[in-house]
Amino acid sequence: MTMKKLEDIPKINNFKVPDGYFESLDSKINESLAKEKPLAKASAFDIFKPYIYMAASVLVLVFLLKTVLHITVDKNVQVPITTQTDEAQDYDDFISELCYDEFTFYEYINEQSVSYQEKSDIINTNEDLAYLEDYLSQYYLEYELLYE
Amino acid sequence: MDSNNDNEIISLLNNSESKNAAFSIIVEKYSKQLYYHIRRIVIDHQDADDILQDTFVKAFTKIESFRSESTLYTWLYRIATNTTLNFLSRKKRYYTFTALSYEDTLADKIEADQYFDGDNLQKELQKAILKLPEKQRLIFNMKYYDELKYEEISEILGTSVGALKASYHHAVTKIEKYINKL
Repeated sequence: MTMKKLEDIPKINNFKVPDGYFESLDSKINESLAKEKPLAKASAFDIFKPYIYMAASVLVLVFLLKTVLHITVDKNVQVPITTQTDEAQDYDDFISELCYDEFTFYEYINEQSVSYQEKSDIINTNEDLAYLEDYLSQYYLEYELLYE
Repeated sequence: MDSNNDNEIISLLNNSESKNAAFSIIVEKYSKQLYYHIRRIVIDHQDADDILQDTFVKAFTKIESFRSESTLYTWLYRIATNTTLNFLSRKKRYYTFTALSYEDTLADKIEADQYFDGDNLQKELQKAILKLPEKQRLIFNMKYYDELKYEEISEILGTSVGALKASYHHAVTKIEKYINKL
């Protein structure tokens, strides 16, 4: 059996086209060309568009971050809202007055310009004890009248 | 190809009034050769039609980039070849994860295509050509069917004449081997 060579095979164009294909090609290409959009010249905005978008994204991110932090910080420092009743207000007034009087009392002690030992003596005197007792009992009485 | 005629067409293209007429002349003059060049690679008529139209649209929109160092014909041929190769790579990507390769489907198409008119030997010849690597297939078709000179093929594909000759010789050997196995 002899080897078949390429030149033994007839060189034929076996590929066919639909009737009138090449005749209608020109109009089809013109239609395709009409659909093609002409390339617009790039404007300055087009050139800087990516950078503008990037800057805008960063700004939005910073704004969001700031807002979130603001809300969080506010929540952290927020003092729970309490309603101060008249009763509590009266108690506060009583305490502050007592402190004031204690301060007055200690001021009175200091005014005596005496030594520590003498201060103890002074306090231990009946007069001072009476003074102290008088003040305390007065406020205790007020406290009892108010709350009991 | 007639380069004097091409120069006349180019001068018509440069005139806005005669531009459309020049396009029609180019389509009429080169559409058949370009169509069959594309068709032999993609086999399917519809695919060849799409690629051919795309080739002309690209050529007409980029006509300013045409340099008279090459002929209009080889320039159009290069656009057609590149457009066809892009089409093939897209198709091959699509067939990556399928059981059949793209070339297998083309071989099946030759059997069933209503626009393929040939006896068994012609069908087997086309199947043998389909077995060649992509670039070797291009070189074989351009030399055997289109009867281009090696210098022209070299200009179109950017491959040296020596490499083209070797590639064509290998292609012929492979085809003959395939045909004789039948």
